[in-house]
Amino acid sequence: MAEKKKKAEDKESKIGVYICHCGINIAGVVDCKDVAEYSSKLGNVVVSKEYQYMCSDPGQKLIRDDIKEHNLNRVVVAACSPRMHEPTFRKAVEEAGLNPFLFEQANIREHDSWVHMKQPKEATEKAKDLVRMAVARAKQLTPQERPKVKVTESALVIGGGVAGIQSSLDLADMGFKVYLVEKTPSLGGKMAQLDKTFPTMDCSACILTPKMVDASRHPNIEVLSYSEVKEVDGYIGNFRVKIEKKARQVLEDKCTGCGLCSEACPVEVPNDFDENMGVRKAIYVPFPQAVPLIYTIDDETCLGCGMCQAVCGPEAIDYEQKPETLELEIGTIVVATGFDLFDAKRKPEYGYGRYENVITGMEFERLINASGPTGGKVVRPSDGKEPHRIGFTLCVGSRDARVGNNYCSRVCCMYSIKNAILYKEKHPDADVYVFYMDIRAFGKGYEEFYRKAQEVHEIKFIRGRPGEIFEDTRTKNPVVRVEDTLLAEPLEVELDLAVLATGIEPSRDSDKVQKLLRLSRTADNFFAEAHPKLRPVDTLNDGVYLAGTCQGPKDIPDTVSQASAAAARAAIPMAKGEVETEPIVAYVDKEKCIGCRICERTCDFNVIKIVDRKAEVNEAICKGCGACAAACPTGAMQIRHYTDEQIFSQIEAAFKEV
Amino acid sequence: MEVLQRTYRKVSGDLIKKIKAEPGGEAISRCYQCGTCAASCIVHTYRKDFNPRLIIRKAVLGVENVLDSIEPWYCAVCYLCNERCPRDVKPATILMAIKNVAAKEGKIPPAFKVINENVLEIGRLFDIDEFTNFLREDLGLPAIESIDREEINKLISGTRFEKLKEGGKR
Repeated sequence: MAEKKKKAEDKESKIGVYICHCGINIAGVVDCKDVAEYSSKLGNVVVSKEYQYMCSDPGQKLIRDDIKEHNLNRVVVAACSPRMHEPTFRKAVEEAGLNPFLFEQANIREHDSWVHMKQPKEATEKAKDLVRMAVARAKQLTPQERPKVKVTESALVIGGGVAGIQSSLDLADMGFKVYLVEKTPSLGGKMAQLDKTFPTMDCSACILTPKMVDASRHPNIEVLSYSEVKEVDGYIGNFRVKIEKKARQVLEDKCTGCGLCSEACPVEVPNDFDENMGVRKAIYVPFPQAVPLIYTIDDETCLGCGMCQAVCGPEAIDYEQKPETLELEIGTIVVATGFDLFDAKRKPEYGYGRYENVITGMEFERLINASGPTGGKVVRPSDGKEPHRIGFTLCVGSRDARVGNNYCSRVCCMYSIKNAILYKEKHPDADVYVFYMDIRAFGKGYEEFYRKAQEVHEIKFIRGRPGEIFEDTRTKNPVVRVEDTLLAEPLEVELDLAVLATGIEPSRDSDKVQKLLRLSRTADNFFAEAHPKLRPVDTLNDGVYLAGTCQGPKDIPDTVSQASAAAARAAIPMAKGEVETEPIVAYVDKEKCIGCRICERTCDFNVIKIVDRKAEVNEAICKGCGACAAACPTGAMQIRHYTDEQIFSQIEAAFKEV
Repeated sequence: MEVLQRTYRKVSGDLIKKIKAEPGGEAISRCYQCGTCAASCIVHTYRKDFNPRLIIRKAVLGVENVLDSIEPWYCAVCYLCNERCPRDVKPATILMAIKNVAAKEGKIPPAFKVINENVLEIGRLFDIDEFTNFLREDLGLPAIESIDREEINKLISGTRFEKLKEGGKR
């Protein structure tokens, strides 16, 4: 019976096979002509051709014309990985009037020519095997419809730094509702901590805070500060997101931001916004321009003495406040979770944490900032004196295999030069050194900035990476041991203050975010984009986009550009109003199902329920991973477009010579 | 009269191939010349002519045949450069590879050849003379006895150490 059915199908199938040269990527190893000739002899193959670039316009036209001329009803292309060009060929097939799922792609590049470069004969045989398997599967393919789903017109932006703010503003200006979630009490991120920005020397807060205010006042943006995303369910257009608003213990609608509570609070703790150099109270705003300007009680250090409650006019203090969970319907998501700085203690030879007068670049930013712990005066932590000799060491935690960071952090050269110039502007007599390996002044105006540092400010650049920094125990002066590689001379440079230019690492919360949104990472541990060149802000999870340093180290201009790009990409599905989803999901043959519940337990996404002793799949949210189909003991559970029959036919063909 | 000579030097890719073929020499081409090794080197602190970064540079470009030079042999093998090298080039290990290549070509510097001969002949890096034992006695330490040469030679014959007798030449 089954045999007969198969034969009937065989008769109906008219298959076109196309072997792509991919320039010399495939043809340089595989004898494409031989493979095409071989394919032409396979059952049901009506035409078999080879061509230089099947993905090109003429290549696609070849397929379209043949479909019409030879009445083809199945198409097999043997070329690259389907990851890039399956959509291309599906579209070409569809344009010629064929259902796009009657197309099958054999990967004879990544799976063959690229891995067997030195074995052309064997590679050609393998290409034949792969084509034979693809043809076998093509015969079993059935047309599929892509379900269309409506897209909720609201976006979620995770992270309230400059990237998240920019994405939110753009999406909101396009008319979409935006939920901007920030885990700390205020928007601003790392940029809020910076003093000036290179190379224009704009005051960081002066250019950032208006954007923070814009975001908080925008009618389409709802800022959820001191909040964290806890759960993300669903799929593009229809995400269901749970957000926890942590308990501030201050009522947002009542707090006026007057600050009387903070004045009254007797508890002083190190201020993390000032890199723990200054102090703040247990009830606090991270910095004066915080948005929203609502105080927050730090539960870990609050004594519960009641002083703040006693002085608060609008009665905004509520010690009993509990965390609140919001459930949101979301169309698309922008991830802007940013970075954390490299911990300089991981380079013990530079003495950070051991020697008082070795500080980080971010600590320098806070010291030289007028609203910082010293009111803008850079001083030595050991004695409070202003340093005469300062040395900046670049690449601390970047370009360093010993700490596992092989990448360049892209900002340390320029922020260190900026800090060096800032100090020289205030202290023209100071001796300022920069210890570098290469100066990467790649951005607009950066090389000019570097030149200004040398020419105008006479900052001395020493090409060499310090081997170690030690301390003169009497004076507490840090001494840098470095080889001036241009002189080939070892130098000992005595300083009053050593500044380590710590690099950029993925945010410490990246693991959590990765699991929530099922993102992947690149080798450098940052989130992976869908394609490094052509889809730089998309992810492989449809409807989720990347903005800013969560994707890789970036300066502010690049971060803002990418944030706008991510917003534009995230707006497309919402502007269209509906998206097509993949029909590759699980379905149940109810006659075969015995209600054993194995599939229900196997499913990681909870989309299978047993109703009346039979499995039922919620196809709208099924990911099509196939775990249930593999686990099913009776073969009742199947995946569309990847049925047992289709896969077995491929396996059979693999071991069958025709 | 002083004759002016051109200062340009030639480069060659032959040397680096030999070094990379030697176990431990593989990582030499990823050195980015930062100078961390030199700035960490205890020998460099006292001898400017021993600069691990510079030796690696000369070897990579082949501007000088470092196999003929005594410089690589000054390394104290303290491994501080290996510990700190940000590209994980392992400079001390590279120098070891360079010394192995030199030894294979019979280019062991005379001073080091003597040490090899000592090991082969007396089983020690240097001889213990009567005066040493006299000093030890003064300090209340037991005298060091001479080693059974036959036993040493038996042990050494099981290794390839003997090849070093000829300056390493195969």
